[in-house]
Amino acid sequence: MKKYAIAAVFAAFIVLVIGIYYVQAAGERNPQFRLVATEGDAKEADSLVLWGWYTDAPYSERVKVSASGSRYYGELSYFGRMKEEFIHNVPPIDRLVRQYPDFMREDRTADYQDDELLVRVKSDPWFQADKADATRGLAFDFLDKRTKRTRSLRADLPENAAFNGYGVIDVQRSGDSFKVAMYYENLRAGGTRGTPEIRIYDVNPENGGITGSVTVDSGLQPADGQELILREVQSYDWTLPSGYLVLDASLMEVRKIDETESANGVRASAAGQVEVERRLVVYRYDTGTVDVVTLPVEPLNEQTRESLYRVGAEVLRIRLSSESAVIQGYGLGDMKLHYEKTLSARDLQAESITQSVAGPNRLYLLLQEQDRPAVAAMDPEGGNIVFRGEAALDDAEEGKSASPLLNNLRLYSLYMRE
Amino acid sequence: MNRYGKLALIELHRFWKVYAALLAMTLVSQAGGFFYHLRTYMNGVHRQMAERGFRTYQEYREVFRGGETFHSFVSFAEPWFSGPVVLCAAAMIFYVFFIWYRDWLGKNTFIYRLLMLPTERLNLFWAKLTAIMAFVLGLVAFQIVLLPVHLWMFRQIIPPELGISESIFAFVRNHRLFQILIPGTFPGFLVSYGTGLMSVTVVFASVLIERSFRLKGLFGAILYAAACGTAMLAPSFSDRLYPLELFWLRFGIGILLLAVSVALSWLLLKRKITV
Repeated sequence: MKKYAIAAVFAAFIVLVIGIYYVQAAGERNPQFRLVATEGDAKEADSLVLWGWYTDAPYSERVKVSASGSRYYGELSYFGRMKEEFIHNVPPIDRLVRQYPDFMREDRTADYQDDELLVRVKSDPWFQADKADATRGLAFDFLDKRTKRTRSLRADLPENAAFNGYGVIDVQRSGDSFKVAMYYENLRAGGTRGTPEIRIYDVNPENGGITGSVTVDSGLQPADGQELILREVQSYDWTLPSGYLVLDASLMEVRKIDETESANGVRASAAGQVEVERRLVVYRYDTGTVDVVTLPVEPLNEQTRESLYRVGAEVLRIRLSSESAVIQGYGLGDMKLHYEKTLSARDLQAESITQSVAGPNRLYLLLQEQDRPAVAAMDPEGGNIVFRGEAALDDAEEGKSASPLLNNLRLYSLYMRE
Repeated sequence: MNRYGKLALIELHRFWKVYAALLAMTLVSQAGGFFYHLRTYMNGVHRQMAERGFRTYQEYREVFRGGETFHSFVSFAEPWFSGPVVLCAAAMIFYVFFIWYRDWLGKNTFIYRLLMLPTERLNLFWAKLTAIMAFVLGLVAFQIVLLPVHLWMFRQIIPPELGISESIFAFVRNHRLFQILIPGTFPGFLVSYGTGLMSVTVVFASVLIERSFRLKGLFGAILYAAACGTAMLAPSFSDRLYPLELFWLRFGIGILLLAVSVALSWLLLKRKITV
């Protein structure tokens, strides 16, 4: 009997200790925050999720802060963590995974969607029995949203020996055909690059036949010692139909930027790429015309960074330093400079501007106030600040001193809640 | 049930001395190593303070490194802290095999008597499984009890100016070894130790295959264990599955392997096992 009693005590010890540990662990919570509107329509905050880190030395923990509260990674349930580790925090893709899980399981990307179709296009070289070299081509996956039927198609691309690398950058539907924008590049030995090219192919979705193609000419031709860089300027949800392909074209020149001579006469020089010309290039899918706007070239210093965003019907060029944001808004329709604004951190009632992030119809500036992170939303059409919000201590934390806790919170990016 | 209970008690009783030694080693190594390290650190602090004429710990902290956390002090005290945990884990893995082989290889061939008992032979399997899981969970519970003791010792020896004491949960979440030993959520704990339970049944079945068919059985046992391992890991190689699907598939495979291992062990114990 005594042995039974000891075994029972041992079992009770195990159950109690582990049980109490997990009950207490579930009750341990980090400070709870909330995004509150301080200016403008509070509804703007409803769709925002800011994320970053809460640091309580020596540990840091991932946290998301929204108008409905904060969510720490460590406080998620077992399945919540599983989901959190899987999602991309790229809402267009996460939404498609939710809506069309079977289609998206193949490859969690998509390039185009409208009311009828969801389309994924991969640049995919494949080998054919009668050819020694791989055939360059496109692999299409179509999902009919109504019937949920899927279909795949391969389209052979014409040989283009001048380039050794290629990829899909945009897909649009135009009547009965698809327009696929391809980026071609030529990587040379030694790490240098040849002049890249953007080519748009018309693809028949029934048989994969290429019915036409056109090269998007940026008008920039690199001379010796120069390099052309082409980047696509994407919108927040690039899968939605769009009439434009927007490119950021930079002509870079390799220049000697520093030369030193050591005491024993050995000369060392440092070279860097310097931007000499920059253009915004817009290809219109309906007319096949190209509009080019020359952007002023302004050298960046170490504290400044520059980004181009496509927000709504505007292309925004933003030069950001911690003290200020210089924003130029170009209309996609008329390709004219609509406005240029300089917003200082002080204008935004902040100590510094930490990041710019594009949403579907707003440009967001992440700010750091003296003791807390904040966010400002800009209307891309007029360049006006329409909303300002900041992290605040949640009502549940009543009685606690907000400042030291908020000071531990750093928010680095945001996405839109669906 | 009564027979099962008695057999389980026998299994618990047969290992208790070694088990108590493991618990004692964990206590002595962790508490002793940690205490020794904390004292050595404080002796160094006091010596420096005396040499430099500091009157407060704050003055010391301003000149020397200070403000280390409980986690940091634990790290400095390695391997005295994690070492016994690793040793206990190794001992338990060894005992998963030895709990069967000792009955064959020990004095008086104890398995002969066990198999002759007027009870369902599967009770022997359940008793050994119960003992292993109880020992493992007992070690985990003992470690959970020890952590607040170490934290208390840390707070007693290191003044607040020189040491930051975080919560036990934050420490466990961020410690390389303890976050595996004590998963962050209770469902995570059930999944981890449930997988452990399934693995033990697979090993038990493998041991019984080997005991039933000897040399041929050895290959069969290795094959069976490898097949079970492959079945558990196979879903991970598919990138077509979503996490929840992957989880439920693995859960289903785990339950299936558990059932197959128990059924196989039952068959072998009933029909094939020889002494």
